[in-house]
Amino acid sequence: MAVSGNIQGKRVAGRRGTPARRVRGFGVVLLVLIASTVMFALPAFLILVVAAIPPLVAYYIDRDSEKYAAVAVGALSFASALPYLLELWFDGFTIRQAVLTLSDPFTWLVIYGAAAAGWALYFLLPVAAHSYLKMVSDLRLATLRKECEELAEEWGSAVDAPADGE
Amino acid sequence: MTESDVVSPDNAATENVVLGGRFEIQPRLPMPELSHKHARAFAALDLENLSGKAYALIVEHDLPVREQTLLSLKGSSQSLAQPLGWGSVDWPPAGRARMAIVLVPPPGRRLVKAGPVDIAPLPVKTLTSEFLPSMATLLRELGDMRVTHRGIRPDNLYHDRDGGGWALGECFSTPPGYAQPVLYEPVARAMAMPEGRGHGSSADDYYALGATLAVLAMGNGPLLALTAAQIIESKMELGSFAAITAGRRPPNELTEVLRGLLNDHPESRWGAKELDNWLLGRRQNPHAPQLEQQASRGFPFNGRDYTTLGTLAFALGTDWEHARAVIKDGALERWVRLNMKQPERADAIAGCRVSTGKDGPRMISDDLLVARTITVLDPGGPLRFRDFAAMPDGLGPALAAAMQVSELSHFFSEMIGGMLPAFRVAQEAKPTASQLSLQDVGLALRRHVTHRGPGYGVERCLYELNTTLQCLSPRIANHYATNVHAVLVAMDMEAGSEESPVDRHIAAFLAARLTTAVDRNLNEIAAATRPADAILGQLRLLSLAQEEVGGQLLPKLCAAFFRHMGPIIAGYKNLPLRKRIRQAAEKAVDQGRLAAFLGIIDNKHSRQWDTTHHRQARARHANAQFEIERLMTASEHRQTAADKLGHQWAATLSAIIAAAAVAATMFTKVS
Repeated sequence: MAVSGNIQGKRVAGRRGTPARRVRGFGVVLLVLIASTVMFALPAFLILVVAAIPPLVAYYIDRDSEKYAAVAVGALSFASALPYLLELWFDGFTIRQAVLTLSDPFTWLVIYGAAAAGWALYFLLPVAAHSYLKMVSDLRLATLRKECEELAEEWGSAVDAPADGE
Repeated sequence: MTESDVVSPDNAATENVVLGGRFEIQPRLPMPELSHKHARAFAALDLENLSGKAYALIVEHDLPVREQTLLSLKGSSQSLAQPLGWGSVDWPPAGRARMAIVLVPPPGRRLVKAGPVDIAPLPVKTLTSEFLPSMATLLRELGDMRVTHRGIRPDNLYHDRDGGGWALGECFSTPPGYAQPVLYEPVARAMAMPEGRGHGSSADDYYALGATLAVLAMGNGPLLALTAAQIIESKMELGSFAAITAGRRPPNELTEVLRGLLNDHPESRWGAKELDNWLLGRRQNPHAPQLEQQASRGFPFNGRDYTTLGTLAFALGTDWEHARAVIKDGALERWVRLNMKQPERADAIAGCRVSTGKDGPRMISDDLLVARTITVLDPGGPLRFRDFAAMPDGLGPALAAAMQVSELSHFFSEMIGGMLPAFRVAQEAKPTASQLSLQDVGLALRRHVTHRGPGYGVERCLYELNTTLQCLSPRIANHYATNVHAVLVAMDMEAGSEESPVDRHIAAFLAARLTTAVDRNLNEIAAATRPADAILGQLRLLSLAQEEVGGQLLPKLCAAFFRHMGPIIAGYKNLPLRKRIRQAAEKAVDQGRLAAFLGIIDNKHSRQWDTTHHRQARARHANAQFEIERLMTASEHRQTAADKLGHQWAATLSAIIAAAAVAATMFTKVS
């Protein structure tokens, strides 16, 4: 039975695809997108490369399988790059314009500042979550202890004693 | 000396005692001329008939009085000591309750003083023309009422020299035959304990009349020196007529009637018809006394040679230890076979060692072997087991006496457990209806004796055999409680801090007297593993009793039970419920109804509610404890969870901010 179970397990995994295969598929799609962007929107690609560095770094240093750091940093990093991309779009969408934008330190400050804000959220919110969880737990404990006290008040030590006939 | 003998200054101040609202007994006025060894007489007034004469007998023993005889004689003549009323009264001189019997005083004076006094002979003419006709009339009257007197003897006769005639003294303040010296008792009944001589039959009264007549005719001089055992042996060896006349020649006029009345065989003994015929001058030839078969060679026992089975049985019964030896070595069996020439009886003696029948005793003890052997030797004698000896119809009073000596009551238990009554019946070739009923009674008693729980045992036998006996529980013995109602009232009055309100006597008394079946309650008390459960069983038993007799409230008894109810109330798990029950029970105590009190203490619905909710509470408590435990241990892993949740929140919040920023940028640039 154990053998057939394993076999069945393999079959199911094969149908849905393994995580490794999925990552490989996602990488292929990403490469195609990057290649398309390089070929058809090189100025935007230059800005996006700058914006992508913090989330990529976060992706590689975050050991969590969900990669929340990359999401938190990436979301703000790319969002902060959007005004520059729009400006590039409206100002001719040239490589020169992209270089000019990137040569402005303020651009870097905005994009990397946003990425830093992402990191800040990533590091600060666990503290808040801990406080929140402790508060919820303490509230629950208080409720349960009160219930125990009420039961002990009503039943005395018998609340721990076996019931008749047990 | 008894307490009634002394009229102390305190006694002199004692107020009159009222019996049944009708009779006023005057403790200050003793009447020694009407008193006897077992009851003291006092002046009494019948408030419904102030002109009538009455006196009261205060019974001074704890044996059963003859209530059935009292009822029968209530409408009798003055010459039969007519009782007017009876019942228990608080008797101040004794400081306890006593049975009081109010009766009409007999005419004249007591013929002779009570006790072993020399009795001078009366003229034969007085005996034939006055005494015997009066006695014949009285015995006929008793016979018509189907009552036996069982107390006919010279010191219980009253004679009015002024023409009032002869009268019999009372016979109901003691068990039948109890006050009779053995001289006036037929041999079989004389061998029993005085308390166990039994009601007997009218033949026993005629025998006592014969013995009384002989003493009145010839005096009792030679007989005074004889012990009871010597008189019995003499009667067995010589026959009663020869034994009582003691070698003297009775008056010729009386020889015939004496022979007839003192015949040792009840079937051949003169009765009312023969006595009337004799009084009418029709002379009859009484049956010659049929003495027991004599052995060719005597059986040696305790230095004497016994030649008849009856005398040997009597001798064996008086020396149980030695009897055991001679029976066990088979000497007795051989003697009966060879010298008495009675092989069947010898076989029966051999069979005494064997337990027969599936209902027979499991084993034959040495004592039972002796008892069985004596029964085989003398099947018409009393039931004998060591020092306990009673006629089958005298078992009840004998047991009442035996209860005062623990060894005797133990002998009774062994005798009943060994099924001696059934064995005695089995010795009869054609048992009579009364003998067969003895067998049934024996089996019923055995069921009680073999049950060791409260409400059974020898105490139960006592109250089953003595249907009018007062409860002998030491706790209420002073109250002379003869019925369930009186017992409950007495228990209420005596209720205190005793460990167990119902003792074995009270349990047995209630079991015997209540019409409601209480076996389940008794078994419940016996099976209780905790004292409190036993007390609860007792409460159930008494509440049944109170419900059956009704009426009387028992607040002190309720309070006594309440003191024991702590563990029972603690049996309820719910604390507020306990408090409510305790408060309600406290209120019920004052009302004095045991059933209501019990209904609060041991309420089925409350118990069910308590059990169900206790289960639920336990489950809730266990779940809460588990959850608390889990939360306490989860604090160690909270940081990990918080990190994960915080990171999740960070990703989500970043995404939301980013979306908002994108939306704002797009809106600004496009517009």
